[in-house]
Amino acid sequence: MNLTDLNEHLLLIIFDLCSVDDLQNLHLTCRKFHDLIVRFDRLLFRKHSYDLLLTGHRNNGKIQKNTLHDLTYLKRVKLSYNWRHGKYDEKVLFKHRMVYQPQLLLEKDLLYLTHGGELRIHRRLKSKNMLSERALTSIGTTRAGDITSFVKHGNVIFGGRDTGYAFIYEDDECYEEKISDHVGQRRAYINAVDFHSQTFVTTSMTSFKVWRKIYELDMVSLELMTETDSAFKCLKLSPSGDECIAGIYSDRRKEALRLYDMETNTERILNSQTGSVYSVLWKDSKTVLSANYDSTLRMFDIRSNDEQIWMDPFDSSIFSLDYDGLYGALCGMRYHCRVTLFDLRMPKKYVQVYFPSLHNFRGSPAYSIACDLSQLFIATDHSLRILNFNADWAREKSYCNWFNFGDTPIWVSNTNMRTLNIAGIFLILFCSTVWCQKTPMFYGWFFDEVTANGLKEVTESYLTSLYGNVQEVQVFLKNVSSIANIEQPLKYYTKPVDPNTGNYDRFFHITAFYCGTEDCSEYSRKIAPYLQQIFTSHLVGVFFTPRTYGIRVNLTSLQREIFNMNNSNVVDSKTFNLLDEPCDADVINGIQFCPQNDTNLHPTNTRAHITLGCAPNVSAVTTGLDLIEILEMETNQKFCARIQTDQGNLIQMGENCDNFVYYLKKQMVTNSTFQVYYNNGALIEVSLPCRAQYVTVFLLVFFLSKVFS
Amino acid sequence: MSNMIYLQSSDGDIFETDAQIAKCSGTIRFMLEDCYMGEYEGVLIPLPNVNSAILRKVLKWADHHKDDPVPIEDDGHSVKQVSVFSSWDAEFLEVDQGTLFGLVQAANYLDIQGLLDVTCKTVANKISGKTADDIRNTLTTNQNKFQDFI
Repeated sequence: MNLTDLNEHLLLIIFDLCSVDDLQNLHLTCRKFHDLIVRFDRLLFRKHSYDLLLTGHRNNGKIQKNTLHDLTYLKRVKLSYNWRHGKYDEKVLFKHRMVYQPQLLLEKDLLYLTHGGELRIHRRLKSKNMLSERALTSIGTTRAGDITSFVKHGNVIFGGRDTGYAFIYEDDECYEEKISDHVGQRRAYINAVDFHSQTFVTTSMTSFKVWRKIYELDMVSLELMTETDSAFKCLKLSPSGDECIAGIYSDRRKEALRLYDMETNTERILNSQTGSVYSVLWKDSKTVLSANYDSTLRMFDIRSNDEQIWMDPFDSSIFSLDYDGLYGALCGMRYHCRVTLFDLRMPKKYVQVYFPSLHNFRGSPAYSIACDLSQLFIATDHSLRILNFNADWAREKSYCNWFNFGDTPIWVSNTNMRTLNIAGIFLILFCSTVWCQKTPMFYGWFFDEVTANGLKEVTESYLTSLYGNVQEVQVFLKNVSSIANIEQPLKYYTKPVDPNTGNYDRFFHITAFYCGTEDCSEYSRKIAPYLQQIFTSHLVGVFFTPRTYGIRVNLTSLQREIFNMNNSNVVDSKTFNLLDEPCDADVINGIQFCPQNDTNLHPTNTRAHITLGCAPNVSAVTTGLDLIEILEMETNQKFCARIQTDQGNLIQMGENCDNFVYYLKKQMVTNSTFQVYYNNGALIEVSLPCRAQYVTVFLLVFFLSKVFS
Repeated sequence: MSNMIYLQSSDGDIFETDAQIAKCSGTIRFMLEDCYMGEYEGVLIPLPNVNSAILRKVLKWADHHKDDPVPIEDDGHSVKQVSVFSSWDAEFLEVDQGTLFGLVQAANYLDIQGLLDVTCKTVANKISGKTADDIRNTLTTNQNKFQDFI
């Protein structure tokens, strides 16, 4: 047994408990459910569609009477969705070159639209044309003064022109009468008209007039009842006809909204802080909607004298208004034929904005708007736009959520954003490069350029003098260079090569900790306070082996502490703490030559060193390894020979007697900076996570370039 | 005073139950009070539309809810009582779909408003949040019926 086996009665009980979304899904499930849901539309959807925005049917508001189509309740649910999400199909009618301000009025079967001085009445169609383009009838001629405002109640149409004439159209007869004159510089322009049974009101640039309709010799004419010198921009009689709401075009005291009592002929200032009102509408007998210059839609309650305010998201003035009779207020805006939809239940927020397509890039104010349940009519200065929301197939043109714009993300369509994105990619690339660089290769004490050159000079002179004066050294060097096919024995040692650049290392340094490709973040953390500090380094001797050539260093206690943080550097537990005694010898090339206390044998107990040179095909790392051997031999006193020279004490050691240590009578004291040496961008040397990151970044760039194209 | 009556399911099994419990069913109450004029001890009521498994579940539900207040009828319009969906009910209705739909039908046939409410609500909850395809796949097992799907 399954859901479809239940009888209709039970299915309806269940469906009745379902939400609208679920019902729409059920509606698509199978034909049986589809038919059932369509047949019981009223039972199932009526309660859901009561309070929908614009399509709700509570109180059977004004919008219901305008609607041409008979709509099912399910259709109302869908239409309300379309209104809220900007799903509509657009049609442009009556394009014209002459620019004027059209007014329109919507009825169930008819649309009244002004064309200059002519009021045309079009039949509305249920077909997709929506409107018959040929006018059913027309009132007046195009050449007469432009119709600025007109109203229709029952069979009577009352309108005003910019020439000061007013017309009453009744029983196929049109009676025209001049009701306003030029006063000084002000034109006779009639701003707004309205009437209720026999009472007619008009307002011009100079005055507000109340008229009574009289019949004279079968002719209809207007008899002036009252005249005040208030000039209103817009006005509307209340549904009962005993009050008139009116708005002033410009009032410096911000008292532009007025209520005129028709019985006592008194004007009351309403407490709406607005300087200029463009359009007014009675929401119900005691509430008024006003469209204002200051980009606000205001709902003013006459009983309590307070108001609610909605702001246009673009801060432009509101030119026209329409109200669905329930919760929806549509505002025709000043620019781009735009219409904004407000839900009067939603404080401060707008629901949706509609941007009709701009033909020939010509925007226009939305001078007059009217809507029914499924269609929105916008009268602009060069055409009539119809937005048909009964278009489930249409693309969503929703602007209420900027981050959800149709199906393409907004940033792709925006050129500036594209530039920003490219910049962002470069930033990522740059950051990742920096990040890659920041894998430290080794830490150490670095000598500046002057000192480095000085050291080079001094040590070369030492080697040369040893080569010239000591036979063992000469034999040794000749021997090793002949094996390596090097003609000049003094050029046997070459400077170590920088692993990053492949160039010769410019500066000499004492390596404290070699990270290589391994993670040495813990060490980095520990030595962080010492970075960039200047230390005094004591260079006590020179050593050379068949593989390497370097300077032995005696570390100060602080240096030793840093040096020994790397466990592999700790050679012996016996520590030799050198006192950092100041020495007043002259500084030559950044080097001071200070006398050493012990020139006989000077085990420094550390393998700290400066690599001066290496034999061919030997890496600088070997220097440290050689020193470890030397240290071992020194502790075991395995010496081949001890040779005293003028400058120091040469010890020959090792199994083949090919390791030499030359302790200097005068140690070299120099300044050195504790620094970190980073791997830079050379790919070959880049660590694995860094390479992975490069690949990711390149893929990202590739992907984004695809998106852009 | 024990008012035991007997209910016979469609497959012939006979269930003995207290008349008070059985009376939560509008159908049975009507039969007992109108057909048997209140003297119904030991009567056998055949229920040809309900099978044993479902009837057993219904009686279990009725037994648990025997002390519930009777919904007040108002001018023929039954006041939509918001049936309290107790945790016991939720657990009770954790059954396969066949049984659930069987219970819906039985509740309808036996005219048990409370049971009808909770079972329908359960079905509606099962539908809620599912796409049309999901509904078709999970709530309807017989695919052949949907070849006429539009």
